[in-house]
Amino acid sequence: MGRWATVAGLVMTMLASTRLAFACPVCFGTEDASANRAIEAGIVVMLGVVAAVLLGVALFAIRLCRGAAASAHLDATDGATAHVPTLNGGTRC
Amino acid sequence: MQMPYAIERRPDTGLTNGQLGMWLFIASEVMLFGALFSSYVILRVGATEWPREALNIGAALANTVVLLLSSWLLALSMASLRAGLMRPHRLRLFAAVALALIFLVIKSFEYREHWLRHELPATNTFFAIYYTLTGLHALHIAGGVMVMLHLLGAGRKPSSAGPAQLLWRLRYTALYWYFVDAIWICLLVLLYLW
Repeated sequence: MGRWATVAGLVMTMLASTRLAFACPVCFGTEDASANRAIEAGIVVMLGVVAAVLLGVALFAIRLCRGAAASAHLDATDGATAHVPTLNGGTRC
Repeated sequence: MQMPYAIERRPDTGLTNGQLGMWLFIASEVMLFGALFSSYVILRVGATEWPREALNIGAALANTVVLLLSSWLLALSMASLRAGLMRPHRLRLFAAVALALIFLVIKSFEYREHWLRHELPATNTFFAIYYTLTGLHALHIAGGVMVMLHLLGAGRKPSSAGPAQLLWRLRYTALYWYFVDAIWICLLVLLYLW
């Protein structure tokens, strides 16, 4: 009970001091400022880069899953021993 | 003992160890340059004036041609090696290295021009980000030159895996080199043309 009371107290304190959540003192409250536009453009570029890298990682993961499934299928049909190592010890994704 | 999948592709991934490593390295490099490009965009969009005309567009275009030629020669060098023609392979690889060095020489002349005009990294934010971006790219070029020189020297001797290993080494280098090319094209557009 004491632990929950501490957590609740912390949450209440954080909620009470919402000014801490105002992340950017540069652009807060000035919607038309050039700094705002600049930071927005920078964020869009960074998001684009991150999205491109994550898309590459996701496509590679899909490729791995398909490869592992195909190898497991080959193992099953040929009755071969594990001469073709697959991910997850040969289980399908 | 031969390390597995150093030369033959792993059946389920379709990649060798080196390819996977190089792609992961390139992904980390994309994040590094991506953060710097993002910083550049913030500075560029937020700036009221931007002294882009201080840059030498002619030198940048010449460097673009030099770098693209270097990549083309690297591809030709790989084709020669695949065909077992060692002499053309080495000559073309050497020419690719020479062009990369020419790129660095042109870049150093560009830097010298700026320094003589007292356009230093501390002058303004434009030159700060200009030197950061182009300097980091030049470091990548220098790294590529070192790897290619290694492939011309000690690295040309294949280990127990045979000549196929040399071809893979060259492929990894080419992958890196094409990435460095792509970064330069982005720099050309962002710094010199935008």
